[in-house]
Amino acid sequence: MLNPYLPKFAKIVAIAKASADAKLFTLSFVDKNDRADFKFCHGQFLMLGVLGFGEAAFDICSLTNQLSTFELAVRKVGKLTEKLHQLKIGDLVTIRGPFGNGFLEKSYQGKDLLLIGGGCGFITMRSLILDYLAKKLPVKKLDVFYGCLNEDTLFFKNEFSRWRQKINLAIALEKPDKKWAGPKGVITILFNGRQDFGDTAALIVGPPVMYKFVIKELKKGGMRDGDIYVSLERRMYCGIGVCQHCAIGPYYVCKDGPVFSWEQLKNIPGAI
Amino acid sequence: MKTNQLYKFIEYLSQQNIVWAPQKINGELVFDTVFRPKDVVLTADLPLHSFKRVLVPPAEALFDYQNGKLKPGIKAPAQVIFGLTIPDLKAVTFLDQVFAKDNYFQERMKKALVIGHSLVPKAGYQFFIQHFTEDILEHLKFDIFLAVQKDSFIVYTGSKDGQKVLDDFGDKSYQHIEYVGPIREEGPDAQMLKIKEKFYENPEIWQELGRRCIECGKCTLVCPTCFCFDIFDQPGLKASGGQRCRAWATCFYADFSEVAGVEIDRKKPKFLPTTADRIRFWYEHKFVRCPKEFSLAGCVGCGRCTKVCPVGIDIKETLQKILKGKVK
Repeated sequence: MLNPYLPKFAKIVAIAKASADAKLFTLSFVDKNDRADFKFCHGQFLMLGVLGFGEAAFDICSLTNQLSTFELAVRKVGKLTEKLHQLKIGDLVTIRGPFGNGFLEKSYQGKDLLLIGGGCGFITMRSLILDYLAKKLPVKKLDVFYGCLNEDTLFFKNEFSRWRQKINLAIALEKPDKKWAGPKGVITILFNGRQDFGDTAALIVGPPVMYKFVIKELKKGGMRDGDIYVSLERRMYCGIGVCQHCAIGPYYVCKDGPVFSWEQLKNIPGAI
Repeated sequence: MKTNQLYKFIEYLSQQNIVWAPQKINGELVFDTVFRPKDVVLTADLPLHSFKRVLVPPAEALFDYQNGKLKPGIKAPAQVIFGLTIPDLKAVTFLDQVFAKDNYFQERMKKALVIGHSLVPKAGYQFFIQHFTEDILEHLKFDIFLAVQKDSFIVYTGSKDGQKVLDDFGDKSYQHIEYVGPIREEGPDAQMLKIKEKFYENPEIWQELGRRCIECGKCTLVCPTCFCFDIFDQPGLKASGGQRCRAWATCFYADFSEVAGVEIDRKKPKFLPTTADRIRFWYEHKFVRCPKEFSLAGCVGCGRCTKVCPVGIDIKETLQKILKGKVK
């Protein structure tokens, strides 16, 4: 019987800045069998740990077919992530997973796709965006809405100009500095009364407060409940639907999610 | 087996095992390791703390780490869990489903000898009471079961380990029962399904309980089926060494559902923000998620949570309210 609590070791092979207080870690499994076995789909997550500092869940944000290495963007917010930020190239971390039910191709195949990311939730979108740019995402058109506090906290800023050659990336900042010429306010201002969501699927990832307002806009724009997908954040320990921390109603975010269709969640108290 | 052979049997078991059993110590019924077999009592009453900590320890190491090497900590002593009533055997059976793929639990289960008996607790805190009939045994996990008669026991075995122990003890009068899984032929329990179906009909139940519950978490400690846990690292005294551990959690405490983010009034952001949310979550686990996953309720009706609750929340009453459904 495989022990799901025993992690694998991965080595940090590159570290880049992802935002003012976040780093992008490129990791590679130490064992070549682990490297060969690794695959994931959009929206899945890993339990990343540093021995002595515990584990937490992080969404994978690299290309789904780039598997000898993979990338996680990590904001410094607590004990584990502070330690992670001190690590250097060559240091080891522990990895379990990938876990969860991701954002599957059948949810958006042949449709327009709208990605709506708020704050750290935007990290999840990068893997979809990169696959789209590599022509690996079977959608007609990709639009991306990104809501963030200010320029400093924007993730992946240096990649935007390359992305914008192929996709429409709209950004709203809540508290930008004076130089900001783009939309100012919460993410819903980007909708601008759009009504053309009849053949569009959407994935929403962001802070809890965001979901309700965004879903309202999508429905106003003609999107069906079954075409709205959300990825949820919860405290997690086991990653395999046992420890109970991430439960919502009848579901586990780690096992049945983190990506759910709104159809699944709309009647569950406390889901969003 | 004659009733008066019981202490001899317990003494025999103590020779090579740690024996856990209900005992009267200083007038209190407790479930603990046995030092004097004469303290052991065969009783229908339920000790407040059940067998749970024997099979699901309050804290355990998942693995040791030292200099970048991992060593899994899967080990279990030879133990006897003696004197379980039918509700507690149901709890063992339930946990065996929950931890079916858990190496740590299964190793302990393998090394443990579970011995139950047929005395039925008197109505009181309890509900879902199931009287002993032979046909329920094939749905319970046990190694030996003692059906209590006037001055003897009818002895059943549920495993090869149970048979071997009895053979070695010199009592071969047992009948063997083959475990066929927890669900009866006629399907999952009808009342459990009804509770699941009506669970969300009357949200006022949770508001009312939320006003009374003080989030002390005692119910989760004494519940023989509550099993949620945290995982954390415990650095050791030597540099770069330590353990990754798991330990009981309780869904009533704030840190159960906290997430990373900006603190407001020195409080971390958390889901399940109100007491009403938390107590609903506890019931949801037992009566929505467990039935969905295992076709079993995460409740065996032992009533320990009612007995221990400092504000008098009675699970039996709550379930009756759920079954009543919408109030017009």
